[in-house]
Amino acid sequence: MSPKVKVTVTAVLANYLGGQRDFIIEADSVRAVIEELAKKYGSEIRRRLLDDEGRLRRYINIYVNDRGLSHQELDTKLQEGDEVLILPAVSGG
Amino acid sequence: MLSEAEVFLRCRECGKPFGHILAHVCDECFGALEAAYSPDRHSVSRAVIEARPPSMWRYWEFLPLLDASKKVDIGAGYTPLVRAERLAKKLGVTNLYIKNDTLNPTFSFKDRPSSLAVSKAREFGIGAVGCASTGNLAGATAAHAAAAGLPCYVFMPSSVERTKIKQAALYGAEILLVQGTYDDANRLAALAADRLGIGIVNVNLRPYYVEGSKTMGLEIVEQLGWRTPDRIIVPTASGALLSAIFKGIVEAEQAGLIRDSSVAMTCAQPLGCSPIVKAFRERSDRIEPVRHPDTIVQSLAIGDPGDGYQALKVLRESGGTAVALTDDECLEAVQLLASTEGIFAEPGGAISVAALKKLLELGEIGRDEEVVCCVTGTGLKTVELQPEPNRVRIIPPTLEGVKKALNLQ
Repeated sequence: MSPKVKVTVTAVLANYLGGQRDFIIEADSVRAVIEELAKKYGSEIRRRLLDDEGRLRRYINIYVNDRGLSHQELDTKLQEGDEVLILPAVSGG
Repeated sequence: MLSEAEVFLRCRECGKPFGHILAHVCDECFGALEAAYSPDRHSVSRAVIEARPPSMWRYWEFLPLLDASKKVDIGAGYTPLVRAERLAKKLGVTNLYIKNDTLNPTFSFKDRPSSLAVSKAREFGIGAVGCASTGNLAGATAAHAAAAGLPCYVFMPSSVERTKIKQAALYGAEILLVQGTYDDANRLAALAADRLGIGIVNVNLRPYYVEGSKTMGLEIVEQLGWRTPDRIIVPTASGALLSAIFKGIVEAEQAGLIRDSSVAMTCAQPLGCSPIVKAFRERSDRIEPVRHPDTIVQSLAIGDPGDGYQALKVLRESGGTAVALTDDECLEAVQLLASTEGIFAEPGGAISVAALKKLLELGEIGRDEEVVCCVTGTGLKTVELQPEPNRVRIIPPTLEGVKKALNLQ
């Protein structure tokens, strides 16, 4: 059984997730989180986050337990209780 | 009051138009939204601008505020463009200017975007403002919030220089020192904007905020007699200032205020946190975030630059370049600028002078180019970083003491 993780997004992403911003999802990697979200809310969210080759899009940042993931780390294993945050990248400065 | 048709937002990546709304990223591609204007919005003559008070607000037709009564103006902008002859001689160049933005109300260029963003917060009726800051924005946002009578919440990495923390706190802001990097502070600020309804100037107010920085470019061309220099060297963290200066210059050309917007935009970053320079030098289209910045140049220690891709595009389109400087090179530039021109900058401000020196040594720019170095923040907030001075002596209260100390016997 996959670990349960907490997933948080901001309003602009919630547009593709039925307006919801907080989720508990069973998934063993960030890629699996995205697949679960796509299964439940439609494949649009996958297309918005990942490009045709399955890489994280340029303007999206994903954090696991407050640590930023590089685009090569989408398959990193998640643990029970991990917190995944998905944010648009453009801010600050 | 202007109509909402005159100022609106548009996605910089996919071009999707948005209205005059409070948002900062595109809901289609998550690219940055930028302020756009109706075709005749910029129609204003040189003479009209020149007759206005010396402040960033003299470029009203280039700024995205609809209601002038919401303006929060504590005197940002219209800083001197200094012809730096002694520094030029020292560096072996002929035509050098310093854009001295240490002379802003809170002593950094950040007063420009803060003035605009806090004004927009008032226009949108937002009850509280805040920012993610490497130090200078904290003071700038807090000061403008104080003048607007708005509460202010500042997110900063706990490593920021003490003076910057005290300064922001003195204006009345609530200071949240994050045990982590600037990017951690920025992430929390983004969540605060999303969940707590705060107008974070460089998150949900960002498209309006960055327009304030355009005024540095507009001032440079006006102060040169309505023309561009060959090159502008910009201290760079997120890439927002560099991109905004160029946007301002392009808009000045479109408005007919200048004939030609050609200028080689040049980016200076500290070596320990130089993701934009690295991508530029490696001709890469991917900016790899620096997870653990390693530099004393705190004001430029942004590992994941929000406008990195835009800055990269501007560098390439304008025929500019990018260079990384060591901490020592930045500290030496502080000394050099102070001792030749009487301008005391922080290392993150004088880095543009260090960049000029380095690019000349590398033979990457010409000695006869007309160069403007943007100096973006005062040295008084980072005085703890400078080495102990060696020209200080304690003497007895006698003329003999003076003679002896100065070797005038």
